[in-house]
Amino acid sequence: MNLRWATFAIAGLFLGFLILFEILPGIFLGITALTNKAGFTLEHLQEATKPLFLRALNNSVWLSLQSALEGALLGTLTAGALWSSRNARVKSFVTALSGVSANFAGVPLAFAFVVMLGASGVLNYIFTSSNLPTIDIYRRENLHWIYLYFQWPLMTALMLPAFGAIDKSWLEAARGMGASSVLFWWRVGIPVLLPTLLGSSVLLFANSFGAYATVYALSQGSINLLPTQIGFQVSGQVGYDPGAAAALSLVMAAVLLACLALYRGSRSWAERLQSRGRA
Amino acid sequence: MTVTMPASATQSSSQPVAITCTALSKFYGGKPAVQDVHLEVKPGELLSLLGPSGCGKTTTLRCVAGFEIPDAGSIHIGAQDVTKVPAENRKVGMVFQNYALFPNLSVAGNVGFGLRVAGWNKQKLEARVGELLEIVGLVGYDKRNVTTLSGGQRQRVALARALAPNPRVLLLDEPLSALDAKIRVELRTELRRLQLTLGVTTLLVTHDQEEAMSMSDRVVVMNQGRIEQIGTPRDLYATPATPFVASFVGEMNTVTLEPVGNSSFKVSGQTVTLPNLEVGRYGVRPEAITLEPNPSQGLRGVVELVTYLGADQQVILRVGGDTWIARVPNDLVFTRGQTVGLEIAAGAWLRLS
Amino acid sequence: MNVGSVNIGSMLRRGILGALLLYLLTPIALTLVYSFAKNWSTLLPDGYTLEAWGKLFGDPIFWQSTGRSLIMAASAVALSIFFLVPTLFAITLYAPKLASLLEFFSLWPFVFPGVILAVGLIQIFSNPPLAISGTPWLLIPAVTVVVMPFAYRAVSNAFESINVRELAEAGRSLGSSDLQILAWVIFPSVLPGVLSGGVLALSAAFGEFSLAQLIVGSAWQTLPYYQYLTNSQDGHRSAAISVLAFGIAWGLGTLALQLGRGSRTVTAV
Repeated sequence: MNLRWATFAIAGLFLGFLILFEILPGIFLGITALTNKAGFTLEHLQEATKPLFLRALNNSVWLSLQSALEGALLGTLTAGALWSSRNARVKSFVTALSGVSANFAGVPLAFAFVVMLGASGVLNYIFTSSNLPTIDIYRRENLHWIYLYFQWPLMTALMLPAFGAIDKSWLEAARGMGASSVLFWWRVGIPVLLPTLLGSSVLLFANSFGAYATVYALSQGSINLLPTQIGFQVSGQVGYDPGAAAALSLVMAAVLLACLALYRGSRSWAERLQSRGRA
Repeated sequence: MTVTMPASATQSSSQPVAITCTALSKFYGGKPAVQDVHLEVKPGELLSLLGPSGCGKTTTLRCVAGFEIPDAGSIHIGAQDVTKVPAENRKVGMVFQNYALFPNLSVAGNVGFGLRVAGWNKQKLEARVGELLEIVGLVGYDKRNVTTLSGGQRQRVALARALAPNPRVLLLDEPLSALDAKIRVELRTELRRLQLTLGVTTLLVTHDQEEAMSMSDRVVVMNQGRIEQIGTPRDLYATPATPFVASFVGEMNTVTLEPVGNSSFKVSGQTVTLPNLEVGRYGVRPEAITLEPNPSQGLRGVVELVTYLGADQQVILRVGGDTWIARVPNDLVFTRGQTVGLEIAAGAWLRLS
Repeated sequence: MNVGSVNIGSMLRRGILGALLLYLLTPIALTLVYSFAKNWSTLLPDGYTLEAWGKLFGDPIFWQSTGRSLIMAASAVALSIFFLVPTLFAITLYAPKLASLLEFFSLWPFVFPGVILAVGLIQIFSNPPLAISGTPWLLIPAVTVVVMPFAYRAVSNAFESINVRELAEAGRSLGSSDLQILAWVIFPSVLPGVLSGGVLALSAAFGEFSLAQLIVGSAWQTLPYYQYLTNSQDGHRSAAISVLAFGIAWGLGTLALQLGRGSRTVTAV
């Protein structure tokens, strides 16, 4: 058999698979959200603006903003610390641990936090006995502590290559010209990092905006966020409303699409900056 | 490093054959990359395609290799028309610019690849691989991973791999350009000596005129998809056919002679008498200029920079508004700012247009 | 660093790295202790026992769920690799212009993550002709779609690390067919990268919960769903599963690094 056609045949199968299981569900969401039995309608989208759902959207946006900002700040500092560290073993261990933890979410993570910060969590016991305020992990405003668990290492992993693009000899060159290291970071370091920093923060926002498993495992959906509302409307525990689910999904997809566009924009900005550095 | 020849390798297994390109043209998106190229690499000859990047030399080579199908014209290897023969059936050996060694195979695995494809048995294959490693001076390297080799060693493996299946012709695509200057010069000589010993017809692509001049029997200078001139290195240097060849091959001072009077011309802002020349563009090789410390007549210039080159010296002069380069023996010492005369024999003025 | 800031700089560095390690390892360490604890409501547990681990490993449903998670993850990864390697080979060698199409497909799951992918899939596959919602026959393709971007990055990085085109030309000039080049050179060369990415994707697929919960739920229970049900019954057993899950993720991550050697972080976008 001719290899060209054999590989094209598999590629064709792949295309069919992707259309059926990846693209079509997205298109179906659009159709379900915008039609009823009579045809085109805006009723599902109108339903998506009812106060419960608007609160969910609002909560999701704030939670994602907060966890993205925390993760971005701490992750960038950590990547910088790794960049300047000369201890190769620490570097490779922290890098590997970040890689694993960045993808460690869902049920196991949620339960680990319950052990620490649940009603009888050991950290809460320590807080109580030292007269510190306790953290109730089941409350929405404390969710960001769990999200930080994967956002911080994710940002670290995302920023490391950007720091890698800063040659340590630049810092020495700046010193040679009499610049302080603060001046160096202000004038050279931060501008070089900025596109990746912004792009990665957007990625963190999206990462938390679409996250479902962790919060569902923690609260069975009693925390009002956009993903949990969507899950509710299809799994039918409270109210089964595929139209609303589709409309809310469309809202989520729109936000994520905007994130993707911003992220891609930041990437090409970073690439332009790099190619200018080479020229 | 010296080239040692096992007895069997020196006996060429087949007669060398010619490569003939006839009216070759290749277009990319309507733009010509190669236009109406006619050339013949004679049996056993090393012919270089020389030119700046984008001149069509690599496209020509890739057409011969079978990686590009020409839009017009034909290619023959020996008597066979290979224009439409797929690359894998052409029996040509090719060395790539970045070597294209197979990263997962050892040195021996790379060298023996073509033989394995051709279904050679183990003993014959191993013997042939050993023979080639001896030819390229890599005895004992057979088990080595190619990613651990130096640039020069990779180059040798690539050459051995291309030669192993006894190709009808050898194609070299900028084979030395990825190497350090010193190794490049070493390998240049070695490659040429090997080619002469094996007597294999070879087409070399290079942008380095020194490489082309030092290695080739004949050189084809290409520019913008067309052939500017075909000739021996000596021909190209002494009698460049076009201004492009004149400036691309070797160093050349190019000037325009403007009319003043009978046999008098304005050159670089000075009036000089040059019998037997006409108005137009001329070139003068740096070594054709003699510098006279006490000038009486003719062109005068001011010394700007003297570079000592060991065997001789290069003097950069300001002549009117132009910069001239002269290459003169070491016996005279010139100082910056000194005014000297430029003496140029009548025969050294090369007419360029 | 200039003399004055040496100590401040290295203290800051140690501080931030220490904080990260503390943040990442404390939950796991405490959960590990909890899984061995008898009763824990003060600073230290009342005593230690292997009961939770014993119950866990003695529960046939646990083994069944783990087996199903493994089948689901392995099928999804195998499917992605089966599709991606020949497709990338065909695209690199024969149709480079189609690369952007593949990139488009790899970005789509970013805009339609697990939850909303599930919403769409349930609507399409709940009715004939393909009423496979609620079965692994829908879950496995869905998980494949979700991990595909990871697998795509890994496989395409592996393809970019070698010059497929030039190697194929070198092979052809030596008389070999494209199939020989694929089998003898390209495939062995991309294999480490593909395996490394495959292991990472396996790790992501193994822990997949959103799709499992929404598409099959208890009908075809996987390990994360088993833990979810265990949460409310037996916290100590659930803690054991958390530790186990982290151990598996850590093991697979290390394996991926070993296989890949080029400690590149694979992100989905």
